[in-house]
Amino acid sequence: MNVLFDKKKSGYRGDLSLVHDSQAFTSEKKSPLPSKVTIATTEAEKEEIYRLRYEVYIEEMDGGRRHTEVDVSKRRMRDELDDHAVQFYVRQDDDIIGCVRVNLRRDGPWECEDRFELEKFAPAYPAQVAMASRFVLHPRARGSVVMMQLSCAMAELLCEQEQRFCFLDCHPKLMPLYSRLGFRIYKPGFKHPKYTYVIPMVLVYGDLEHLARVSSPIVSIARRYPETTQWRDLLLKNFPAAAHTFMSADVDVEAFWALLGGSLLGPAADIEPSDILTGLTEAETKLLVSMGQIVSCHAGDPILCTGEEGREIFLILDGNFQVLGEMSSDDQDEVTIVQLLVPGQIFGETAFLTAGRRCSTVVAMENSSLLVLNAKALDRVVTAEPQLAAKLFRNLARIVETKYCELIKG
Amino acid sequence: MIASGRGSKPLHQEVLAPCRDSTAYDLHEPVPSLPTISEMDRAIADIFRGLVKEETELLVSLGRSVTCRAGQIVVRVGERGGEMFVVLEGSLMEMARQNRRESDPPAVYLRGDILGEAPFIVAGVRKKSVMAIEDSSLLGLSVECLDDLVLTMPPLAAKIFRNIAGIVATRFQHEIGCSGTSLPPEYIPLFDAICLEP
Repeated sequence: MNVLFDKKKSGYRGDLSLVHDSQAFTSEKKSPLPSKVTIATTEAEKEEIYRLRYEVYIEEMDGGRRHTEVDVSKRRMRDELDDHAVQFYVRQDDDIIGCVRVNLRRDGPWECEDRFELEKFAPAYPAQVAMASRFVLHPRARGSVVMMQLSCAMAELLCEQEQRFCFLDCHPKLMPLYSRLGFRIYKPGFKHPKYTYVIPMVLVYGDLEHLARVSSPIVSIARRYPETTQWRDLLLKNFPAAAHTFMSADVDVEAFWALLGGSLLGPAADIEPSDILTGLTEAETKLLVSMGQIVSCHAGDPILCTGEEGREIFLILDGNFQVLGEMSSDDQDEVTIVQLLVPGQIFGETAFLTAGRRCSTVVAMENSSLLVLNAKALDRVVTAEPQLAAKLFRNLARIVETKYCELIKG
Repeated sequence: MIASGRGSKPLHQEVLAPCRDSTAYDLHEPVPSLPTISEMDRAIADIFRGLVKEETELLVSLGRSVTCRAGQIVVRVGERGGEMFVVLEGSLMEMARQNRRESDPPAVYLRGDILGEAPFIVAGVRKKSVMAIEDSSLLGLSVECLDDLVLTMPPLAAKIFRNIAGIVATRFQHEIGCSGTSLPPEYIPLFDAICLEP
């Protein structure tokens, strides 16, 4: 390990060559790519990183409207957080194929940091908390070990720098991915001013028990530093929900099922039987819900917005939601359709089935909780659990057809 | 003679009786500029999507073959029917309905599309009338045969129901004026992208 950090400067210099064991993170993935992680120190390296970001965020993800900070003529994507960030990257042949940015709070404030309630992480805050962002992989590096290598390199540096917490916010579709790295959902999501509804997550580097439980690839790095429960206890004291939200299929199916308390099936269910679960056995229901993660949200939060990308299906566990749809009509440009959704109902299924954009806006009417079903896991169920898939898709067809019939009935 | 275009044919065949209903369309003339769902949507709105040859043949063998002539009405609004039709050959179109916006083109059904699925999926009555634009071949599938498939051939049933759900969802999107599919199916792996925002 060769990380050089100059504390007197607001920057880092050095080379980081890592070849970590990839097994824990690549069981279903492509072959590993030989690569090494480096911290960018020259302007030329950083320019390459900004260009990769541009290619992925702007060109591939069609993010031109969201990212007004980009320089289209130079095809580069950079913002003020880059002024005092550590930039990790992986190069293969002549190209950078993956990168991530880390900002230490002691070097300056972050974007939307009030949303993370950082003061509740004192005394680690402000000097010992960091934020990861702009995690980007070139298409040819996806499914390889590159993400794991970048995460390990990041962990190596942050542990060395005695950083206790690493924060990020992510699209709901990426929650399973970051959960597997060891991040926990610890508070309700929020509508990012520039992006979609995002979920704040935090990783506690000293929490070896949790990192081991999720088979995080960074556990071997964290073990080299003194073990302490102090920071995990601080997190759970201030955010008790963090104790539960890590439970997912990747961790403990039974515990996750226990958390839901059988409310989806049991006689004491406090929600209406869900249409999406019709005809499923208990074992099938358990398997299906294990493809999800529980998130909470505040009253007024827009969970989905018309036109956004995303394929996750949201099953309402608690609270009511309002659907605001827009459609053109002959006598009025836009008509808003309002529908009330209650616990047991789902939303987001149309975009899941069509791989399209969200057709409506869904807003929480009160503090609520949702089970976010991962789209990729649902896609895989067709081959992995075909009987469950047949019932599930039949149920989805019925749910959408019912809406469609209501619509054409006028 | 039914030809699915996929080398399969149903075991049972039936020719619909001539239709005497008057229609708003002169079907002896080509229907000009019939709008269809985009090709992008077609890639999703196809009951045969992802089926291998043997699965397609099996599905087709489970149903009854129906031949209809141009101008014939295949399903009628208000009917109760436990059968859904798959278009194997030809084209059909939705007949005028009261609440359709004038600016909206009638839905057109091509190979791989389904029609008459409402009672099949949610019970109740048919919500639309559909008429053949040209001589067409259909496959009639009963609720029972697909329900049996869930038990006997779950992998095939899973694909079929996924495709049916996709077709219905695509229609729903169009009905509410949504722009439809934003990305072609081959781009779906895009969502694997490890991109963290912001």
